[in-house]
Amino acid sequence: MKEITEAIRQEIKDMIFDYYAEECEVDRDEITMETNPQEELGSDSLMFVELVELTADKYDLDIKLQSIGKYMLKAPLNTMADVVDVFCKVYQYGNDIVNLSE
Amino acid sequence: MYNKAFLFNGICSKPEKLRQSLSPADRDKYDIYVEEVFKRYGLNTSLIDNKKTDRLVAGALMSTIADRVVYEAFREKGIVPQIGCGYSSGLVGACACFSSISYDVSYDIIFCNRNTVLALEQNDKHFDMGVIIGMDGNDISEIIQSTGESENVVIGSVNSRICSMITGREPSVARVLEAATNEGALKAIKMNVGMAYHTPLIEPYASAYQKLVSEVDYKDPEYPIVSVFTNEPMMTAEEIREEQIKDIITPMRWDLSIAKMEELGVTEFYDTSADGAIKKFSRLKKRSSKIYTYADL
Repeated sequence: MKEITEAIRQEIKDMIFDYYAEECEVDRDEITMETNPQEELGSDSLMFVELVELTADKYDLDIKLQSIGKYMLKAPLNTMADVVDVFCKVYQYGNDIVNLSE
Repeated sequence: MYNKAFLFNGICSKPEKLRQSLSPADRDKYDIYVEEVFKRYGLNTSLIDNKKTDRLVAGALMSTIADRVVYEAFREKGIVPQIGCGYSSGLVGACACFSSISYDVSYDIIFCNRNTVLALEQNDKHFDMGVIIGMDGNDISEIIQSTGESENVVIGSVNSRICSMITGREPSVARVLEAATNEGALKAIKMNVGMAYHTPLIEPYASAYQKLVSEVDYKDPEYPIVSVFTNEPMMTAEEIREEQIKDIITPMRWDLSIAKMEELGVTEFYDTSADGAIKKFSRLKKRSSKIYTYADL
């Protein structure tokens, strides 16, 4: 397990918010932690995959999409807070995220 | 060597979404084309007001017309293709835009799919397609094998390393999608179109379609079109004919077609779908390559 600092958490949050703001063509200020990315921003799975790839590149992570997919069966992503949380867990645990409880 | 490639969508997007993505001027042009074409085939421009068996074809015609409008928009901006590729019935649009067939003939080909839909209905056959995101083709093949559905489901298209389309008998498609979800697919969704393209299972019901496309008078395309089956550029009328005959009954390798175009030097891809659908499910290998959409105009 990798340690995650508050600075990294904030960096991950900023990356995710910036990504959705650009891809969904909304003002970054309109996105909150309670925002539902699918229903309110019109995001989709392909965008999510791209975000995973960006994160993996940025932090040099070797992550399998299926690991995230299996974790999401236990912990669905309904809000931006959920999205930020899963990416922080990906940073910390990598593919072992699949073994985490919700 | 080539630099600019045009990618034709076919029937991947919802027609209403395509229309809404167009500029007001292009929307007017689209409406005029749709009005003319739908009158010719006795179809209602309000999709829901068509008979159930006609809705799929009506949607496909709208998608093909939208591709044409976007193609013309790119051309008006001085963007000229050097090579192209069509996803599924996007091949038909590519052939028309690249002057291998007329637009009227392209609509005839799309409309002829109606016979396939009717044949399925008459034989009480239930087919469907699904999309799986977050897994590569090898993983999906293993899932199809492990669920015992190899006779009933195939990968209809490997779109990229993270997105594929499966196709086959309806309950089997549902089972494979469920298994994919349990194995960690980020999305495994049934398309509910009542049709299974790009599988040999559809061949017994596609005879009218194959007869039509085999008898069309094709011309050599103005620009090469990459085959989604051989992944090689096609430059002759006969190659186009063979491709059309294979089209609805053969699994595609969209990923390899994109890779081939990059190998041939293409760095600028132009997505002719009004809503940028092709860009979403395609993946490029080179950092220097980019897919441009209608929204970029």
